[in-house]
Amino acid sequence: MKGFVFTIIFGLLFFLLLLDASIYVSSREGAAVRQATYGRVDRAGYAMDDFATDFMGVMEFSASSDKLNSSNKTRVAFSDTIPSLLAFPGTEFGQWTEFIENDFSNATNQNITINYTDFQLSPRLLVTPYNLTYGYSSLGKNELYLNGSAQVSNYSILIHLNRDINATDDSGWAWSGSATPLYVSLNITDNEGEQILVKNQTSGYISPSSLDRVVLLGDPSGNLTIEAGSVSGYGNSSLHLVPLGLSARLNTTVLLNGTPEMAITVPMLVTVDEQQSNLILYRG
Amino acid sequence: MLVSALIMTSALALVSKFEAQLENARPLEDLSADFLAMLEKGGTLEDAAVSGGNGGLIAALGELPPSVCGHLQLYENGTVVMQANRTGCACDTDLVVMRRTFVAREDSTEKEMYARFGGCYT
Repeated sequence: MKGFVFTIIFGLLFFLLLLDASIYVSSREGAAVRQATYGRVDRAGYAMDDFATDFMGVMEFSASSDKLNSSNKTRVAFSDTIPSLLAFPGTEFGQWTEFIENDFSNATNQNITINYTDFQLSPRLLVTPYNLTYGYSSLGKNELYLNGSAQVSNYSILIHLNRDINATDDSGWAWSGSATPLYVSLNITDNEGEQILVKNQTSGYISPSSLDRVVLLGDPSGNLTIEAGSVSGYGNSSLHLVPLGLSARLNTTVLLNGTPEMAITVPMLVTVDEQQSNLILYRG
Repeated sequence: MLVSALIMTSALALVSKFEAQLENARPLEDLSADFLAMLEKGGTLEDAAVSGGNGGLIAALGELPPSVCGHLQLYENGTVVMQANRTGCACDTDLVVMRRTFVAREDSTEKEMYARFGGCYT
């Protein structure tokens, strides 16, 4: 009788031990699967961030944003140089994507593709949900535009030119005598550090629905045309810069009404293993 | 008794699957990823590639936590063009390997490269 009771008790104890071990082993297997899944997604996310940084390097460009909660506005800042300083920007861009898809893909054992056909035809960044586009006429960045968004309230541009500016044709520019929905600040310096004024001002309100144009004439050659307001092909509240025979370093800040979650993306589909996304330069 | 013996054998078989987790690679992977991202975004990788000197890379490796050992290699066209090791330690085997691409600009051209970090715990 005693032996039978001991057998039952030890049997139960061993059963509990068995159950415990079984739960432990299955939980470890589950954790291994989770780890593998998270690892793949993390790797893809890391690669996307890597390519976004490279993209800004290839395009000689950077973008950032912050929220001004006290005034209920979002500030987006772009740093850029126009035109591209690269001798063959299209070729360099193609070489970069080829490098990612072949060399880097093989080295990391990841299946990576970059579809940039659409971007190559119309290089641009999209600021969502503001419907603001920051774009170029080509990869050579021979023209820069910010399309009209009803949410834009302020363009502030620091322009540094690599030429001496000895004349300005600002006959097509009209500062508004009263407040309008669009405020523009043009802080322009030439290669001698001289500040260039537009109609004797550096900033003021303009009409978002009429075209304002100023042409800065370089010495001995070259010019920069700045258009703001209703720019043909881009709509109201737009900005358009066209350098010809000179180079301009730009720091452009755009104030947008509201503070929703926003993102700056490049319409260029990047696939890393099974993860697919447009290139995201900023989200916040 | 026979039933008990069977149960015991099964339990031991399962228990034998237990293993001590000696080294957890995940924190080191995260650290390696952040380390390379910091080197790229801070311009250290590009500076090294353009200047041809690995002093900046060695200095950066020296800033890693004392429990981490690692080495960096810069690749161009699939070939190692620069190497830097953390002073005072060496990894017998790399517990983690992480890579990150970067672009090095020289005048009006640029070259596409990647950095490889191999690391272990000391």
